[in-house]
Amino acid sequence: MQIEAFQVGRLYGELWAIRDVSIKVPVGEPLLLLGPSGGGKSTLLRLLAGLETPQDGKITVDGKPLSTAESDLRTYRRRLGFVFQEGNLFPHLNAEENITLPLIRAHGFSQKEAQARAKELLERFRLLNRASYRPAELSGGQRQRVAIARAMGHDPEILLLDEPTSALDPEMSAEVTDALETLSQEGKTLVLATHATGFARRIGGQVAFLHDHRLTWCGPTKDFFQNPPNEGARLYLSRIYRE
Amino acid sequence: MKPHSTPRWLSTVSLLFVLTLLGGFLTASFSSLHWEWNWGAVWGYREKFLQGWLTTLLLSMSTLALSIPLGLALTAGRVGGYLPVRQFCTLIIELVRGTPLLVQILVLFYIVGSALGLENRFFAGILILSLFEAAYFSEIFRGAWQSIPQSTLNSARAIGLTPQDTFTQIITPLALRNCLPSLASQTASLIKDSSLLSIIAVSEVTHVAQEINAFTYSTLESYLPLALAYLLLTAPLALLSRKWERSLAYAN
Amino acid sequence: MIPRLLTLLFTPLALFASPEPLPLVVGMELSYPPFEMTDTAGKPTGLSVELAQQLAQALHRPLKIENLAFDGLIPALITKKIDLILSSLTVTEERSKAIQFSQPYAQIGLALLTRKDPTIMSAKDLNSPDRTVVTKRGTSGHLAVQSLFPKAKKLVVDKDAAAYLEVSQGKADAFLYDQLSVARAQQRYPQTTQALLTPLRDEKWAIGLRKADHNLLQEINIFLISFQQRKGFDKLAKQYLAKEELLFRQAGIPFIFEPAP
Repeated sequence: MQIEAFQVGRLYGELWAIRDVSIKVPVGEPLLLLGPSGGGKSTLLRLLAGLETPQDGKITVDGKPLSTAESDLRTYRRRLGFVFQEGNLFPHLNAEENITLPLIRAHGFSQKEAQARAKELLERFRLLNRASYRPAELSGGQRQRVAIARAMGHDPEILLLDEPTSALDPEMSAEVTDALETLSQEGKTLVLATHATGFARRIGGQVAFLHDHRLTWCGPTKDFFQNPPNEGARLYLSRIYRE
Repeated sequence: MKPHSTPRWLSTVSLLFVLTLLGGFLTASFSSLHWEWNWGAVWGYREKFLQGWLTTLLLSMSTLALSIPLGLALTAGRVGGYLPVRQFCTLIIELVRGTPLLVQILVLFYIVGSALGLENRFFAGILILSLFEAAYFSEIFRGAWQSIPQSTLNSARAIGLTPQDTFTQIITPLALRNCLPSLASQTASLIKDSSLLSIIAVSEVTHVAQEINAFTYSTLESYLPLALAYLLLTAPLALLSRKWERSLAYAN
Repeated sequence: MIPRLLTLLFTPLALFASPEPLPLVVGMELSYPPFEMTDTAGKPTGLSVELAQQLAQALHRPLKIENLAFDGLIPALITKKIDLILSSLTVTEERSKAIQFSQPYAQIGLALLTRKDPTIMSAKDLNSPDRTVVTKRGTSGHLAVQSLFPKAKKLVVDKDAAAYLEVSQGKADAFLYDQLSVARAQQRYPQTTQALLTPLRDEKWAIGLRKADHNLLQEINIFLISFQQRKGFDKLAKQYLAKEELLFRQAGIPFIFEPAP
C-alpha cells in the first residue's frame, strides 16, 4: 500500500494546523514525524490515517485519491492500524476482548479465529497472563502494548502511532519502544509521531520534520540527527537534549 | 484501592447501636404523645391493606416497564434527530421536570384525560406516572451517554467500527454501567411517587392507609405500617444500588 | 443606666398580673362554604367561624382557628393539637367511641349530588354494580356509603372539590354528602349535575371534644342553649344561608336550624 500526501492543509476554525505538506510514506521502513508540540505532527498523522479530511490538497492511496465519504474512510481505516497516545482501550472489555472486538466486528473473523489471533498477539507481546485483565488493572506500558496488539490484529500493512510513549515513564516507555523496534525489524511500515529521539535514532528510517505548521525537512534519520538541517531543527534538538 | 476495612462483627455492633439510638428517639417521641395504641382496629383491615400494597407493586412495575423505554426514546429524540424532534423532547422533559407531580396528576387526569375520554383510573395513573418518571430517566440516560469520553469514541472510529456497532458494543454497555446506580435510585423514587396517585382515588397502599385511618382514628397504627410497606419495596433497591456502585468503582 | 433601673422597678408588678387565659384552639377545615371558608385575604370566615368567635367570647378565652384536613380533625383532637372540632361535624356512633359530642346545634340530612342523567331518579337507582358513588374521606357520607349503597362501586377522595369534579365530569354517578352542599353544588354546576335532596339519613351536627374534658363540655352546652334562646342561630342563618333557606322551603325540607320534629 502506497500512501502519499499532496500539499495537504487542515483548517481548524481560523487556524491552519498544517499547510502545504507533501510527503510519501516509505514502504518497509519507519517514517518518523518529529517537531515541537503544536507543530502539526498529530494532524498529519490523523490525515494519513483517514481520521480527518484535508481542506487543501489531497491524499492518495496506491495512486487513487482518498474519498472523503465516512463509509469509504472507514473501509480505508480497516486496512491500517492506529495507536493513540493514551491507548484508548475500551474500559469495559478485558485485554483479549479489546483485541477480538474489531476482528469480529470490522474484519469478519469468527469468535474462535479472533480469540486464537488475540492469544497469539498477547503471547508475542508477553501479555498472555494478563489476557483477562481490564485496562484499569494494567500498567500504562501494558495498556499501550495491548493497544498495539489490537492495532496489529488484522495484520495491517501500515501501523500509525501518535506519540505512543509520551504518557509513559521511562521504564514503561522502554517496553513499548522495544516492541516497536521488533515490529519494524520484521518489516512492518511504521508511521510514528514521537518525542522519543533516542528511540528515533535507533530505529532509523526517514524523518519528516514539522514545525510552524509546515514540513520544513524530509530525509534519512541519520542525517537529521548528525546534521540538523535548519534553525528550527537545531532549536528543537537543543531543547530535547537539554533534558 | 480498598479502604481500610472494619471487621464484620464491629460494624454489626455499630449498626445495632445506631438503630437502638434511632429507635429510642422514636419511642420517646411517641410516648410523649400519650398515644393510646389501638392495633386491633387496624388489624381488621389487614386484607385491604395487603391488596393496596399489591396494587402499589403492580403500579410500580407497570410504570417502570413503560417509563424506561419512553425515557430512552426521549433521550434519543433529544440528542439525535431533526430540530423539531429535539425541541419537542426537550420541551416535554423540562415541563415534566419543572412542575410538581401532584399538579400533573390533576391536570392530566381531570382535564386532558377527560378530554380524551380516559376512564380507567389505574391505567391513567400508570400513563401519567410513566411520563413523569420517563423525563427523569431520560436525563439519567443523557448524562450517562455524555459521560463516555471522546477518546473512547475516537478509538472506535479508528479501528473501523460502524456507528451501529459503536452504539451497541461500546456506547450502550458503558453508558448502562455508568447509570445503573442512578436508575436504581430513580426506581425507588418511582415507587414512592406512586403514593400521589391516591389523589385520584387509585386504591394503592397510601390511599388504603388513609381510609383505614378515617375509619379507625388510629393514625399512627395506620401510617407506621404504611412506611414499612414502602421500605419493603425500596430497601432492596437501595442495597442493589450500593452493590452496583461498589462494583463499578472497582471497574474504573 | 436609667432603663435598667426602670426595668428593675417594674418587674415585680408582673407577679401581680393575672395569667393570660389559654387560647381556645378550634379545628376546622376551611373549605366548606358557607360554614367554614376563607375570605379573599385568607382569613377564616363563615357561619362556624362566627359561632366559634361567640363561643370563645362566652368562655373568656382568645380564639385560635386551625385549618386542618377534615379526616385529620379527630386525630388532632385526640393528640391535643386542638381543643375542639367545630366543623359541621356529624354525630356518629363510630366517632362517639373516640370522642364526645356537645349537644347538637343543627340537623341536616345526607343527600345525593348526581350526574345529569334521566335514568337516575332516586337513591334506589344508584344501588347497582354499574354505578359509582363518591364520598369524601372521613365524612359521615364516607362512613355510611357501604350500608346505604352496598352494591355500588365506591370511590373515596380527600377534597370536596375533587368529588364535585368527579360527578360533573361524569366519572362518578353521585356524591353522597350533606343536603346543603349538594344544593349549593347543583347551583354551581347546573348543566352537568342534579340534586336529590330527600334525606337518606338524618344527621345532627355538634361540637367535638375529648372524652376527658367534662368541664369544657358543660361550658359549651350552656353556651349553645343560651345562643339558641337569643336567636343567635337565626341571625347567622339570615346572614349566611338566606338563599339556601329559600331552596329548602321550596323543596319542602326542614331547614337545618329548625328544631327536630
